[in-house]
Amino acid sequence: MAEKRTEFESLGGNNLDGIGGNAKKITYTAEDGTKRSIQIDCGMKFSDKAETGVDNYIAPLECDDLLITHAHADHIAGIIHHIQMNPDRPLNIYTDQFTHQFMIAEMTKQGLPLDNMPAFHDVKEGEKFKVNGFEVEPVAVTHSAPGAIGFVVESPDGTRMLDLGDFKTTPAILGKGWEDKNMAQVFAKGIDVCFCDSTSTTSKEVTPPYTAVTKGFKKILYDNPDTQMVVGTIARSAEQFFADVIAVAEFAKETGTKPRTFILDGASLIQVNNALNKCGLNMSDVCKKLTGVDVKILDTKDPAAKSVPPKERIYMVTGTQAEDMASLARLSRGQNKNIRPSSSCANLCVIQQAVIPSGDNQEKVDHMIGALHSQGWKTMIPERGAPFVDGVTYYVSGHGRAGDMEKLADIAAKNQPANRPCTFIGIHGNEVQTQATEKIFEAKGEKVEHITNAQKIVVSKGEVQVSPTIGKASRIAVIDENNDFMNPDFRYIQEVFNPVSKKWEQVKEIEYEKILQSKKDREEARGKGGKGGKHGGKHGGKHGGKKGHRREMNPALIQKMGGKSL
Amino acid sequence: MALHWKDYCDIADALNEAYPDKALTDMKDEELIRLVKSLPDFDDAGEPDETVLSAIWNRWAYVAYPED
Repeated sequence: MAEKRTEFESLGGNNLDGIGGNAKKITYTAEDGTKRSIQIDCGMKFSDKAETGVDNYIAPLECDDLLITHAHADHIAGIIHHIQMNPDRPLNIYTDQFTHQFMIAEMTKQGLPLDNMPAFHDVKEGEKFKVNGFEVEPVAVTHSAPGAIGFVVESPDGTRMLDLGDFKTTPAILGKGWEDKNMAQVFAKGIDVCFCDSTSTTSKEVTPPYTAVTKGFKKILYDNPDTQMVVGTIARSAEQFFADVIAVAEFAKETGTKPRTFILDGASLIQVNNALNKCGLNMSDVCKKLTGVDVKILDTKDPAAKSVPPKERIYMVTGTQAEDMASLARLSRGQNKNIRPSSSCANLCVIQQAVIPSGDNQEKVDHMIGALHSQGWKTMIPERGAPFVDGVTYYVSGHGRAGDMEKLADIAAKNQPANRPCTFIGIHGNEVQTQATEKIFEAKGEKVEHITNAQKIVVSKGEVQVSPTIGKASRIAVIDENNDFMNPDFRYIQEVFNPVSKKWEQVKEIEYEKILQSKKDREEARGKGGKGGKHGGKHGGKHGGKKGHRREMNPALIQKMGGKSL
Repeated sequence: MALHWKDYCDIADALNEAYPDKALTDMKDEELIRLVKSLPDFDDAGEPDETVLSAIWNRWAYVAYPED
């Protein structure tokens, strides 16, 4: 007879080298030895292709039942690639409606056939559901992406684990978010282990709320009258966009002027707006209910947008990290056909996102800002971790700082049953960040443990322990061969982490049949008696139903990946 | 080549060709269905579900708004 136990394993996200590729697995072992598992998230970790030869890395996908916390790429972007590699896999995805809608957008970007899309199950905060023998309760949290949730996962033996996803402890302004009383109720029922987002826990205090962004954006409006504005943002971070919408409404009310008009430039912002509409969160409607002001949100193809006077326009664009083909970079090169500086007013570009410290982002953004100036745009960009002064800022992170973790520790301490204290563990961060999280809870008198990737927390008979054995962490390197996201051509290389050398090692290239997007390609392939072409492997193979050719790995790429070709 | 509801990539391409200046923000499902049915190659008497409509609209958005 086996010992009943519940295990939590970080499959990715507790990385030595930074944030990304988040994925976690919970496994229950029954007395008869049978195991059942579910996975939380399956994300992507960015890579500097110039250095590594790889576009990004994705976490493993070890279960067909997936709970997804929110729509950011470091939590969801691995899924589409796993489907590419294994399109017949019967995936079930449990997530918030906004995340569901956004995932459809991501899957259609790569032309995934409808028959190969996972089965989506929309979940709601507080409404429990059963998955593979586990009872799951979604818990609303606040993050920059709307619809962010954490999950309480209860095993058949009553063990309760809480993964809070990415969060901060101030209220959301668009839809449901963190509420202290809800979290108090969660802890009152007993939580054995709580896993906490460690992205910003080395910073002091509480992360400012989105209402601070409203104040900050309003200040920008006051300081820049008669100015055409471009605002760079991250599309999925709609909480911040909505803070701007409210700012525009309040400014209009306070000054007795006509509200400015938002004009969306680029597919992803238009898609996020659509996803919000599908969830009953049309930003104009919600703003009107809150403020009584009608703020219009159009897009660059709308004829009405062209007739808005330049000084009343606020263009929302993406590309805050100077992504080469994004709207903001094109604007800096004078190549954005939808947006031009106006000669009838001032022109201001607000980059409403700090530079993400990764690769050569800082250099690229600095260069882009210089180019924007030469195109006639004044610019503003926030400093990462800058002090929050007088409750005013025009950018806030969606991740909690040390103050947020202290607040969570206080909620747990006040409400958890005396005979069932929670153990807190840092995830979603490197060693410095996860240990910083654990030190905060330890200083508050709470129990803590520490894990790395491929390491397990084991709960058995009420005892919480770190498994002494560390497995082999794995990931898949994704190489984009043609840089055409609408008709992609990916190579996938399996890698494992060597804990002795502390390096990632290639294991094999993954062979797969490419999914064909267009009806014409599928009919052609059927006519030739085969499916879409094979990918990868040592012997290359046919590609996309067309005549085959041997695909050699680029020698420069081989060198970048450590000199070893497969 | 007759198009059916599930051929969302081809439908999106056809929509973008037929209606290149159409703004997609706040487009209602009823309008999207009407536009799809107006395509000369479209030949499907069935009714689309929510996922199909989402797929068509989102793919059209990628085709129609390349600045991203």
